[in-house]
Amino acid sequence: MLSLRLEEQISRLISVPGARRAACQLWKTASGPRSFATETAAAGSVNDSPKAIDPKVKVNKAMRAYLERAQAHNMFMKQQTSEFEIGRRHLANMMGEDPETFTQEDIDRSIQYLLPSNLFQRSSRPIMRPPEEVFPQQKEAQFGLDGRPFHPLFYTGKPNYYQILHDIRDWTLQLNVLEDERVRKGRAPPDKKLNLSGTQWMTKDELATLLVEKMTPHMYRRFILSMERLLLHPYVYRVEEFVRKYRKALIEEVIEIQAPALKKDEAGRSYTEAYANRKTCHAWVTLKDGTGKVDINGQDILFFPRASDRLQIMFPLQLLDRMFQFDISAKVEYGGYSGKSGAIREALTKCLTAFVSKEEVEILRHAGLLTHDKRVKERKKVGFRGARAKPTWRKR
Amino acid sequence: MASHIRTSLMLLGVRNACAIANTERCISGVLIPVRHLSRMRTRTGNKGGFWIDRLAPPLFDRTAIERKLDENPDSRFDKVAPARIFQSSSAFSDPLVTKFTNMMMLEGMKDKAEEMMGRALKAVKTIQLDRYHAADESTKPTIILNPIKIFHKAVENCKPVLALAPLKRGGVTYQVPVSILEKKAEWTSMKWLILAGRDHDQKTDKFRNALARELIAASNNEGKVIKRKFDLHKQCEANKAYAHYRWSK
Repeated sequence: MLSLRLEEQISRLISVPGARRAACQLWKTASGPRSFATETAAAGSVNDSPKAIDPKVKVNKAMRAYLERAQAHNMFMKQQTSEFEIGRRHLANMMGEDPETFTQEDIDRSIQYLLPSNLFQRSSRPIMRPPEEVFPQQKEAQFGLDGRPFHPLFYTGKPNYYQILHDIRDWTLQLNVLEDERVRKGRAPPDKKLNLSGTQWMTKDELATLLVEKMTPHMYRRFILSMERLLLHPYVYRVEEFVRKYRKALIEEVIEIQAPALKKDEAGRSYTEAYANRKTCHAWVTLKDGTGKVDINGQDILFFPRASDRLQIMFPLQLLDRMFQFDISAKVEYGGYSGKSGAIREALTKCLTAFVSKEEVEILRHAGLLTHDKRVKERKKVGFRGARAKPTWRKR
Repeated sequence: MASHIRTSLMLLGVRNACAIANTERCISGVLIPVRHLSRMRTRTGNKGGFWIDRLAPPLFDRTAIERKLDENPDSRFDKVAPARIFQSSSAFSDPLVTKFTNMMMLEGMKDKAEEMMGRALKAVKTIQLDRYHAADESTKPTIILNPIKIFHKAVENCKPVLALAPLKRGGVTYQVPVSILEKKAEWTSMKWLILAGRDHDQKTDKFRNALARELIAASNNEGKVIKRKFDLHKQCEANKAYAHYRWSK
């Protein structure tokens, strides 16, 4: 998104002598040496858009073209935003809800209801998102009124990206000088270590969004490799701030697991309910404080003729050594024995998370019991014998 | 000073960050060029494969999981692959036995294969118990009664050390002795055991009994499969003159 603030100031500078120097100064003070594009205010008024250029003032062609482009883009975005707002209110009326409190989540839900799509690819399904998300961000003006670029790396085409690589180099040289000094003075290598636990490098897309530049896999690999090389330096803790700028905090997986609500029955025994599916099977499981009774579709555990399926049902309880502390009752539908046992296992583990401590949930997670197995049968293709197998080729 | 040389090298010739990234810093301070960037794999990229393979493998032992969490606290952030339908923490589940069952399965009849495997192990137990009761007191402790242990011992004993690979040199195909990977040796061993089990009198005998006899014999370094392994080794020994064909034309 184009920054209106900067444009406005630049267009104000049009009639001022020494405009380029001033614009350069503005660039350096306001946005730093390699200003990342900033987001526009959501709904800018008409007055915010760049003013028409005075035809008497000599403006570089590139700048003129940019200003025109920026104006067109802002007009377009304004129109899109107003259309989105009308659409949102209209959708709320269609769904019989209050347009004032109709959020993006409501929009997604309504679209899914009104235009149900069976397409496997989620990105191909119909969406309605605000225009800021749909249309890609654009960079601010990279050059002054006389057409000279601000950034010395402008002609690389990717100044922000190459600036990072240059920064890494500069830091490496500085740290080397420091290290040499310390070695000359006979100092021992530092004990301090840079602890980056709980963080990871930004992904390629995140970095590309931050820099507002297209990023190829090769470029990203080069960035990561250079950064990793910097991390090997014994004095890297001195550039922690620089390193952390490109790292993202991770969230503990176990925090995101939500246990089902613990309820009480008439007898005062606590129980939980959960649903899970696997392949084409659906399972609804209730886990209750008890003595190890099993009820699957009205039968005991011998509902499963194969021993391996019975092992799967008891896997989570057996891992935590709680085999005879709970009563299991399950309803399963569709599919075969493997799918049924897998679905019951997953639902049962979900139920169990409400009864056990956080550490035990972590153990269940590391045993692969809380990850949904999303594999399903691949569809048959037209003209093939199956999903991938082709018919035998014959020469006429 | 070595680090001084390094700095001056950088100032002289190595001007961009990429080139710095391409030099390995070592303790002595000497620059060691590493392979070109595009050929290198990083920790973050190039993780191909099926989505399950890209996740952390699940563990089925509580103590092993606790040890992993102690040693590597960052594993709290790992996404873990779902446990497969044949994996379990149960004392009755054994990865090697599962593998063997899958190998002897025909036409996807897994329940039947599992039943046959169970019966074969039961037959092993019966034979060993008979032997145990017939033996005198001094030899009794040497008889293994656990059929799973016998099975593991048999598979271990039947693993070949070498294999023969047909290589075409000068229009003639030679059987060249080649080294064999651990996994392939295990596969060969189990395949031979299954074939030995299937090689029985169809009218009077059963697969489970033939397999049980073969497992017990192999665990004592006897029987058809062990003979087959020695035959292969003998053949490799006889063909060792061809061994150089592996690397020459």
